[in-house]
Amino acid sequence: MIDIHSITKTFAGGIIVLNDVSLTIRSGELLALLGPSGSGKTTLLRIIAGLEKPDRGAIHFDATDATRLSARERQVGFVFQHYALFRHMTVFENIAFGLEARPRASRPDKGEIRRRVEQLLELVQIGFLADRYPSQLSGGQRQRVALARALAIEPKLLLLDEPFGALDAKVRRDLRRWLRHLHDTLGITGVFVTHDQEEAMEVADRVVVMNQGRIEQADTPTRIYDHPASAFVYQFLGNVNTLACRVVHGVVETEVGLTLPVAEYATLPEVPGNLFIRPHDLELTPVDHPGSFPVILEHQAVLGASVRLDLRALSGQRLEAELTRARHNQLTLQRGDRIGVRPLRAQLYLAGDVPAAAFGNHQGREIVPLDP
Amino acid sequence: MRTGVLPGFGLTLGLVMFTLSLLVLAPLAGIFIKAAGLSGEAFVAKALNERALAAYRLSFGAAAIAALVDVIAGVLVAWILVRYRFFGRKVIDALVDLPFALPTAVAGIALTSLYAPNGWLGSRLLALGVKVAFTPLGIVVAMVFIGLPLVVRSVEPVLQDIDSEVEEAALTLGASRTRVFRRVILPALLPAMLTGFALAFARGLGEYGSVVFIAGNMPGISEIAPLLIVIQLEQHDVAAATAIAAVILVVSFTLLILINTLQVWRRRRIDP
Repeated sequence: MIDIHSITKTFAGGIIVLNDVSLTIRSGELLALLGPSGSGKTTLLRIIAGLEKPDRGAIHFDATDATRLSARERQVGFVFQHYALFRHMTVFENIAFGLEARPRASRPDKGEIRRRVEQLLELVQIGFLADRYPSQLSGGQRQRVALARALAIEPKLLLLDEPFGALDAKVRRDLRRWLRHLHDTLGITGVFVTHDQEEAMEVADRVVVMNQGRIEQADTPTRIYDHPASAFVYQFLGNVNTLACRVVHGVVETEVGLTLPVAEYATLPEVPGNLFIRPHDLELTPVDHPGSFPVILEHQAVLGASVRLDLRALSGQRLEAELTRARHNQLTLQRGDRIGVRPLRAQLYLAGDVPAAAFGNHQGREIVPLDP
Repeated sequence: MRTGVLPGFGLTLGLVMFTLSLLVLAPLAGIFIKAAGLSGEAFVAKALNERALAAYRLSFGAAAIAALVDVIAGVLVAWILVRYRFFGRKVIDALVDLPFALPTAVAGIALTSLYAPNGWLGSRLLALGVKVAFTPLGIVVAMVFIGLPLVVRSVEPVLQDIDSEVEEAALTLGASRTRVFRRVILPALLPAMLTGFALAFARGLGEYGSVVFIAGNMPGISEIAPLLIVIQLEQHDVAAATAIAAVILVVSFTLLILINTLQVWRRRRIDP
């Protein structure tokens, strides 16, 4: 178990990269640090590895205080985004590096090193590349070498910094499934950094969503998707339409012409807020259908199994809707059509001074309008 | 042949061959033609006598030692310039090029007055029993001085290019600082160090201006080969001068080809 306790890190120029971050990583889990660039996720990973020193805070690896240990002493496997392979060494020599760097007393003999490296080459499925140099490999192969090299020192903890960031989409998808499989085989504790929410949701046991040097939410992918802890998390997990709104005596009023009743807020006089609707939660209706608002269809794009519609409300605001191919085929839509849309589900976050405890504002409020 | 973005390969190649022939090949060929006029015995007498052999040994030996010192010192200087940000870094950066810009005679006078037995440094070194000026050691000092910028400027860009992540990777794999340097940084720098060595060696071998001031020029002891050529010319023995020149040319050319081959071999291991 790794215990990260109130880590704060400031870079030159006074930029606070990590602001009082605490996190517990359980043994054997695969954890994703997810956030936009500049959220501090890579810095947190580097601090765990000992490549960066925190200004304040402590890190414990099980019972030992690792805060003052150097990267070398922590025995943590680290995989860099751009692989950081040793260019003048063969794949074999790269992987053997960590074993050969051990102090004489614990260093395996030559035959044992060879056996272990061959095992690792087999594990990452690149045995046939042992004598090549990194410049002769593809991106995906290099990443496998980097992974095998990190695993060679038998780390208790494996850290991966945007491991698939530099790869193309297809290789990326294959490799992340394979990583998940590898993790399940080895049972090693793993932390990886990504800015791709799909990747985090698909691969990780738990996802830690970070924003501006803070942890917004740390939970299982399902819980994060279903119960986002903040407006930021809701927005970051996938596409979302954001409608500025006002809540007046229990009714949400938006500029696009949508009104929704929220009985719980009946006592509030007038509060501004934001209403979030996922594209797949927008249902197409005839114009003037009760509970809907009118939009103009500007563009439709077929994306495999689904169709994305670009819509413009009468107020000029652009929205996005997503529907299945089957549903799309029923509708026979034309560009420039006037149609109605209504939310099947929406999430309301109030801005300004609202007593958070009373209204659960930070969590937002889910609204499921009934079809009138 | 691959055509680049810019046209005119034929024209540029022609121009290159023309200038190269005019500036480099023709004069060198001249030396051989002139030297070939000598009979075998005359050649040996003029270019391979006791005094000339001593001069070759001194020139090649001192240039090699100086180039070696330059490589070590040059890597250190480049390391500091690339890896650290400190007050006065820009000044040091500019100072590195000074031996380049200085007329070699000025460098020779400056070094001689500094290292002479009554000089500021020379007198102190003499007290320790080390004589620098007017000895082979003085020659090495002058060659080190003029060769240093070549190594620094060869190594610097390569050092800048070394990804700090590669070092971090080695650290996380449990390597000590010395191991990171020996196994990760040094192999990456080696081709550049070889280039620097070759350049400094060539420069030291050809150096005349600064060396003659500090050398003392005692035949057989501190007389460098280029000086021997000048002496022969002053005595109007052009044949002897070209014979010595031919020997130097052949040896340096062989050495440079050797160093180049070594480099190509190293590079091929990294970027096949």
